[in-house]
Amino acid sequence: MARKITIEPVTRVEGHGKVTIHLDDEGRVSQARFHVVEFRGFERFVQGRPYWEIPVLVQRLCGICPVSHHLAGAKAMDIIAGVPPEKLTPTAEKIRRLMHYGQMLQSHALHFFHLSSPDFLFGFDGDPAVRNIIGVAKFHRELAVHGVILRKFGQEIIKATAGKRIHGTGAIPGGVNKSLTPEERDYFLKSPAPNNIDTIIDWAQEAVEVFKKLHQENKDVMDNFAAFPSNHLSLVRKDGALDFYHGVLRAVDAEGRKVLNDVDYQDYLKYIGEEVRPWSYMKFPYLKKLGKEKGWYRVGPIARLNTCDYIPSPRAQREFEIYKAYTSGKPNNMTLHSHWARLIELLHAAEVIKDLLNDKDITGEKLVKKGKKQLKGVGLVEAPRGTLFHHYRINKDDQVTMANLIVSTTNNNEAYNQAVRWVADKYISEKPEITEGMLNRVEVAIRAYDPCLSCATHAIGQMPLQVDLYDARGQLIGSKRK
Amino acid sequence: MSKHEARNIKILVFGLGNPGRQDDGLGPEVISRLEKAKLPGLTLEADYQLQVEDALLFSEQQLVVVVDALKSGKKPCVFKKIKPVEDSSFTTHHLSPEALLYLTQVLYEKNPEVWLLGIRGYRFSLGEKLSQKARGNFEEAYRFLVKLLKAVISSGQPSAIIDFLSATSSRGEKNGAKEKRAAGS
Repeated sequence: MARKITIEPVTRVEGHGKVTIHLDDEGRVSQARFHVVEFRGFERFVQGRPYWEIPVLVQRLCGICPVSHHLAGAKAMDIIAGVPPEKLTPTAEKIRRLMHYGQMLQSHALHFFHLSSPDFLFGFDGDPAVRNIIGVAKFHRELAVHGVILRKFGQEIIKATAGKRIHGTGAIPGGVNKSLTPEERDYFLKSPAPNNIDTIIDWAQEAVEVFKKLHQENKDVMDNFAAFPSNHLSLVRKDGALDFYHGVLRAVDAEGRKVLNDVDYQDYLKYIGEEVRPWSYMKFPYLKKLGKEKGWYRVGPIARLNTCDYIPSPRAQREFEIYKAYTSGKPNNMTLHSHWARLIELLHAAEVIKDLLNDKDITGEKLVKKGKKQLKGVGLVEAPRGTLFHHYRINKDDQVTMANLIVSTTNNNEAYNQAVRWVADKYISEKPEITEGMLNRVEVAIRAYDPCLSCATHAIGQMPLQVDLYDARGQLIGSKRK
Repeated sequence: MSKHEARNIKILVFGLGNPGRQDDGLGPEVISRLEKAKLPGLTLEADYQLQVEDALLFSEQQLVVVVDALKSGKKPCVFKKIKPVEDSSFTTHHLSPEALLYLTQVLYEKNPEVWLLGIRGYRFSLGEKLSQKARGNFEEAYRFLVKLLKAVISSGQPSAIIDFLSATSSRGEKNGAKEKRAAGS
């Protein structure tokens, strides 16, 4: 009898998503899908608002990476304010970078230390009561403390540059509204350990070593779990270096051939299409050059390290060389290696933060420029989870008339579906029933990309995990909640 | 010392929620109002959710009041003591106060007194204004919280909460059920 397994919503993943796996009469997987069950609607929400409100307003999209939306929105508004990226003052550009790399540090730390590491430290079949942040705190206390301090340091960088912990106003059209004071700069450079950037760099390096050790111990799983070939897309600096804040758009295929060769993201509509499928609110972006079928791509840490030529900071570059050597310089398509890539980026972010803190422009006083107003603009940054597009049009009264956002999670939409299908094929077809181990493997595959589905409300009482089992006639024949 | 002068007690009030999601913004709204009230000795924070690094912040306090929206319940607001729980419901976007208190104990061997002020909300979709009903609940909860904080600040002891709750409970019996309801239990 054909059956449908539903997992809803996915725990330890932001927002509300569900996974449905359809089985055929023989209990084999016939279809696996990752759904988004909430319509975001944010593009409509911002229509009619004055354009200068956008950098603050869009932070309400997400509680984990509001800075990404803040900066992508601000970059689009720079264009509208007639101040293209190369015209920003050095202080404005560097303060924004500091904010962004601070966010990358805190977000990547949260993801690895407190979200994904339990899967590797305790095993996919580990006791769910232990396989979580509490388990890490109890049995790997030093690791958990390092994660807390890395997070805190990144948050403090954000607070110092954006002005507030949430809904900061640091970036404004054409620049920023504050730079660092010498006291703020010295706090990050000279505070007693562990609250200084040198300790943070050392701990980020240790985190990379933790992953490499876990990889050595679990090579088969780390290399093969949910691995599949794909295209990869990200920003790179004009000289091909890794860059989270600004650059040109590059895409490579699974063999490393360039599909998009360093194009201007203001023209992204020429290169990126968005397919609508009736069963999901989330669109499916693709590279127009390759078409809907073959043009889907991955974004995020694994994609960024596949597209860039090198990393412009010494320690991260050394780790990048080790990482690239593992695949003989070819793109890495191993899903769980995204954690490895993420930690190399964590190290890079920490190194860049130190460089920026030591740059005299970071305490400069020239903050904003003005230009001739334009009626449209595109802003793009590499958010922790991947490439983030913000595209706006305004009218002559300065009101937003159109917004199109392609968030990292949307860019990775097909990758989630591929990952879920991989798990379903391997584990559910072997044993067509809902087990804790199977559930966690679905989650492990999705967590590698860490989707942020809707920046949903979080009021107390949400986020159970419910599994429903339906027969071929759509009748519920089993249900499991954890 | 004046009636409401701080007696060197470390108090954190932490408002949780997204102000871009209507009544989910009840927690940050309380922090906004408290910032203007300028009560002495308070640390005020607002964020979308608790996170692991807040264990460090909790560890530095004697008393923490977490303010959050509630999606269900008949009362306008509830006030209850949080006990540490080995909670595995961690997400990147949500860590319960109970789990955070447990983490605080495990990581930093500190045990601040933590209370939750939950305010009933009704609308949680995109939008920046509180619903009218939630606004009413907010006013009631805010009045309750300010009186409670003043009592604790004045005494310098987190345990003053118990005396305050007993007193408001008695007054509630005399003057109607409003404050008693706010005190929850």
